[in-house]
Amino acid sequence: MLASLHSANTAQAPVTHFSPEHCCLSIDHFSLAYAGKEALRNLTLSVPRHRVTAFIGPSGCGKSTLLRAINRLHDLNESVTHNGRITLEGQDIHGPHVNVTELRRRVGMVFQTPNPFPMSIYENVAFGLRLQQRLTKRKRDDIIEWALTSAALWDEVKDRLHRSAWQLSGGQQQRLVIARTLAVQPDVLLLDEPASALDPISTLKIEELIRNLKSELTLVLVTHNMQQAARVSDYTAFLHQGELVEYGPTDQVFTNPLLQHTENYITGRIT
Amino acid sequence: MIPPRLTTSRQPLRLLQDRVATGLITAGGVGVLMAILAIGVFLVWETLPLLAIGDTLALAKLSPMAWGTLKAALSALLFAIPVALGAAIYSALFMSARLRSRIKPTLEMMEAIPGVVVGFIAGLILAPWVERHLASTLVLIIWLPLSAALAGLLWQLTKTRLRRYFPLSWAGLWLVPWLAIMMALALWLTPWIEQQWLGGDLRLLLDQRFGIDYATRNALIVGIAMGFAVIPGIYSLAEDALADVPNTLIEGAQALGASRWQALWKVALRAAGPGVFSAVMIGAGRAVGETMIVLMASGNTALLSASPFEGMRTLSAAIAIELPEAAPGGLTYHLLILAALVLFIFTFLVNTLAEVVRQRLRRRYRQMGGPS
Amino acid sequence: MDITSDTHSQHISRQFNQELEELKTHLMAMGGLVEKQVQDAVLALLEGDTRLAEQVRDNDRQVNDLQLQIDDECTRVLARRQPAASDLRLVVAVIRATSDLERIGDEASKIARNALLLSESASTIRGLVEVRHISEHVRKMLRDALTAFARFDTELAMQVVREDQLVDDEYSSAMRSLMTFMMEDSRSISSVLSIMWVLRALERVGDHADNLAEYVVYLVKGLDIRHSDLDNLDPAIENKSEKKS
Repeated sequence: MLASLHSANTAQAPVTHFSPEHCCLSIDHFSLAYAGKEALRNLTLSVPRHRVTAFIGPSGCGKSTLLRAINRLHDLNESVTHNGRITLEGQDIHGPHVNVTELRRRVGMVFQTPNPFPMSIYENVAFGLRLQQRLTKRKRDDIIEWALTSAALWDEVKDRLHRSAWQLSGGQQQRLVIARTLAVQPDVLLLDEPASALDPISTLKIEELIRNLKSELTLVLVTHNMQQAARVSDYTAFLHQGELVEYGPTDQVFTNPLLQHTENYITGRIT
Repeated sequence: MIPPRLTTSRQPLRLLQDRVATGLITAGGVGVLMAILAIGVFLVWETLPLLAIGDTLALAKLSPMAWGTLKAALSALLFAIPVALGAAIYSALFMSARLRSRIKPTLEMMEAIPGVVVGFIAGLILAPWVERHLASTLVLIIWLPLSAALAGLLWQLTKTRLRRYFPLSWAGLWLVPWLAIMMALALWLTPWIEQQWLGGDLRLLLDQRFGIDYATRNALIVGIAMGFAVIPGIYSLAEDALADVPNTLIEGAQALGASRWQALWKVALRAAGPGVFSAVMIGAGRAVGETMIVLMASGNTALLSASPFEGMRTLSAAIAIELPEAAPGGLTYHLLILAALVLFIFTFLVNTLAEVVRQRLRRRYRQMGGPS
Repeated sequence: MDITSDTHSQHISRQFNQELEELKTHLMAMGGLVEKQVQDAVLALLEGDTRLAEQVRDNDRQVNDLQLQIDDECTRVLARRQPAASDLRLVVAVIRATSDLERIGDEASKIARNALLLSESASTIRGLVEVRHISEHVRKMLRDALTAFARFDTELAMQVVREDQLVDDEYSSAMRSLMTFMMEDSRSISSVLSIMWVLRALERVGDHADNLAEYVVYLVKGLDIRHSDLDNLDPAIENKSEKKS
């Protein structure tokens, strides 16, 4: 049961904490700045395993920045500096012996606009696999079929695996991207507004997919659509200007948030 | 707020203006097509008499020149493609935006240098210098890329703190002094190397040992000079194609665990492939048609040789030199027209191929919903 | 988190604001109407005013119409706005409140019916003192509950919740004394029975007022105190301390 996972929160401490055995990702006093300009301030929160955690907040609050910090995408930007720790299953992701490529295999990411590679559907899903290890063709085929099935796309594409991925519709492309990420069997899946570029029906399919994936993975979802966060997530964190304002079970945050600030944002009031 | 009502009284005048403009533009387009067609017809017409004569020996005279055109173009592309594509890849995918905004226009301005000037410098300054310092030239050609690679290796090994002073995105600037130093080093050391190992004179060695002849103006010079002229064209188009690749594609590859280079090679270059191919084709078209540089830097010797140290004679140079003096209606005249026809068809094919590929690229991008 | 009545004033969507305000206004109107119904029904009973009693019974239709109208408005707000947090609790509270107010209206109707019956009886009616007493108590409860709803005042609401116990005690003792009376004088049984129905109706009005007060606590503090033990209540509400801004 959800309630047994976390300790109760009050208005003095509106941040849920998880015991180490339930916690998959732990963010500890983490700060980040772009060329001196602070984007994340002293964030501390933990993400539970096999649950969907949503980050909500107004534009520019740092939710996408935080997401990218989890798989170290900021390494590619030379002007970024950061402090504090992020641990994945107890291991510091910035540790000296950490292989970034391996980290990115374990922490997959899906972006806002579907970005399938200019290759066939098969090759798209195989891309990550080819990077990681040498596999026999049969093994690879099996994994690709499994990944496409998990992403609820197999039936729609099984007859045209070798056609260009760019021929698929937006919703299908996004599911392809998810399949591509699933193929390397990550522990965590980060989703940065995965459905905001899609039509309502594709959005619902993606949400259904997210719910089904919960049993295998830990999911972190960034969304500006609050109803989506309410529908899909188990825990919700509200961020504002780089700080964590409130973090608790989704049901509680959306029916009776602890802080006035959260209440104002969720009900659409200007503070 | 109701917007003010548009008056309809000016409509007929506007419609008339529209129609006149459309008519003029269509006439222009048709006119150009007619002109091209007319040129083609003229060329074919003037070569018909050759079929009547059927002098295959005369035709055989053209083959060294055809070979010369190909050799010149290939030498130029051999030099230009690695440099231009390397510059395009670095400029589009690695360089900092500020630096790129300064360097790209400067490189594109290179295209404005008239061929005659490039040919002049190549023939009268570069060629004699290379002849006197053949060994240095060859060493430089090998050593400069190697030293750049060495710089890369050293950069890889330095600690992160030092790296912050030499970011990859500004490598375009801080590599310049490094290469200058390396160049000075090579030039300083080569005479000594030549003395020690090559018996003091490379040209003599080549002649005596391998029987290779060295002409002052040769394919090497043409390659460097024409390559220089063709680089801006290839760079510009290839850079545009690479910069157009959506950043999300590269990020997506990296999020799957690809290193920067893997993401570039497997995804970005693949996505920009057609655009880059098109750029190279257009560069090739330019190289084939270039006249003045080849005229001044190739020595105009009609040889069927594969040696980079021998000169050549290209179709374009031959036409430029001989046609003004050829008697209209004579054999030479018709042969030269045939040469022009061959050039015409070749460039036409190359450019058409480039355009077709570019159209397919545009269609693909539209499908993906990207900028078209 | 405690919300105040000002909390609703600053929605980015002014129309949404207006819709919520209208819900509250209409609920208060229904509350006012129902309050008057109870007052009139009791007055009709105490003074034997049959015309007033008929009026009360006719007006019940208006109460029912209001309930339908407000419920419909609430459904529309839910469908269109998908309200969250305090807005959601407000709509839920209003839906529950209309049900209780409509029942109060029905009880007032019953009191009026009994008033008509008793007006035909010739003999003196016993138990009117108890009726007056309990009716004033219950009317105050209803008024306070509605005020608490309008002002989002949980303290006033808790007072109402505690009052219900006292009303129940009053009712029990009134019933006992009336029963004794019935046993003494068998001719008065029918009129006493009517009075007992009236007392029961009033006791029910008290229960409904108690429910309204509980909805206020739910709306303001997010705590659902229906079916909760009164002794555990106060500490639980204290724990739901002020929301920080």
